Amino acid sequence: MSEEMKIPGMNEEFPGEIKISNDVIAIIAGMALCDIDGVLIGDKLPIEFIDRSNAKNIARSIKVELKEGNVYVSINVSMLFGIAIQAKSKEVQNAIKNAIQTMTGLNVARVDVTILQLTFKKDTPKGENKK
Amino acid sequence: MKFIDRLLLLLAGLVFIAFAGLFAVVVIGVVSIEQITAVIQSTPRGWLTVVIMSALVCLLLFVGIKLLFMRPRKDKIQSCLINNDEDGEIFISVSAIDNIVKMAILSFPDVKNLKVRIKATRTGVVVFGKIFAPVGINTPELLTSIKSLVKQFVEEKSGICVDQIRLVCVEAAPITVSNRPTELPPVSKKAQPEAEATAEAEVIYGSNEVTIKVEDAAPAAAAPIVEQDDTDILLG
Repeated sequence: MSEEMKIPGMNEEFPGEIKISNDVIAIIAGMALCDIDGVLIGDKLPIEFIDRSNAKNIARSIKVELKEGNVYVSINVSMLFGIAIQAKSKEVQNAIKNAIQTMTGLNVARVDVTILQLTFKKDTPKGENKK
Repeated sequence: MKFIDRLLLLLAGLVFIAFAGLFAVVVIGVVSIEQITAVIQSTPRGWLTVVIMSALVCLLLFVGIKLLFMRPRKDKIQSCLINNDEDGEIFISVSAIDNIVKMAILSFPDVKNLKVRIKATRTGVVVFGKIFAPVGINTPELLTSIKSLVKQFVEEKSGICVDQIRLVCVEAAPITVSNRPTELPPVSKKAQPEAEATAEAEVIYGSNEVTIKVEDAAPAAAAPIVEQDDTDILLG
């Protein structure tokens, strides 16, 4: 069941509330990885994963929580073998944080990244090298 | 959930519903217990009935035992913490480290096969490896090289400290009368004294297992947290 988050400071001029679903934030987080090379979600490229997965599958890989007005994201990714994991993970954290904060205005407190598996070149899905 | 588990749960559900329905009609009074008993007693005692009843008993028994030992699947992924700062935590799963270790070990052409197990600890990881190598290679040299490469590789690629590396070397093809070597492999001058020294200290006579303890004199520069690095190399 998806939760909804109230966006602060958006109802000052007009009455009413603007809420944003956790699933939407998860999709934003997933789409933020599209520009990062060598990072996959599951066995798929982020855009394929978001495009072909349902909300349940997305929620399994990208968990979004709201605590005290802050967003906590936890994401499971795969990375290509050979890249510097720590540096790439920091890139993932920054990309997700920036994307969510820019698109929703919510404050992202933490982005936890778990590298579930390392993928080798021959295992990469089609279209990876096109980028 | 597996298909078979789903099927068993479906069967168990149907059996429960059938029993519940039976009890309900008895309680309401639609059917009396005597009538049910009469129906059971009037069933013909032929071989077909025995076969059907036996199959039903076996099925119910199987479902019952399966349900008894059914446990919820563990979704928790075993992982190690790489970094924790104000932005969040970065974890790496044990299977990813497993892949890194395998890639490092398989870069040695002498290694024919391997089995790797990773144990996550508070400070890093412990690597357990079983390496299948052919007869005739300098095993202590190979294992020491593997040890240093694995440590360097894992720490460089994942940023995780390798606390310990425990390797067991197993012959890829045990020597028998049919495949015994016609001539002994050349022994390098460098390896000979080392092998003799370790053998003098640790060989267990009358046993086919040799244990060599190698103290790591120079830990890798990328691992400042690691205070000690003991490596047990078992030759079997």
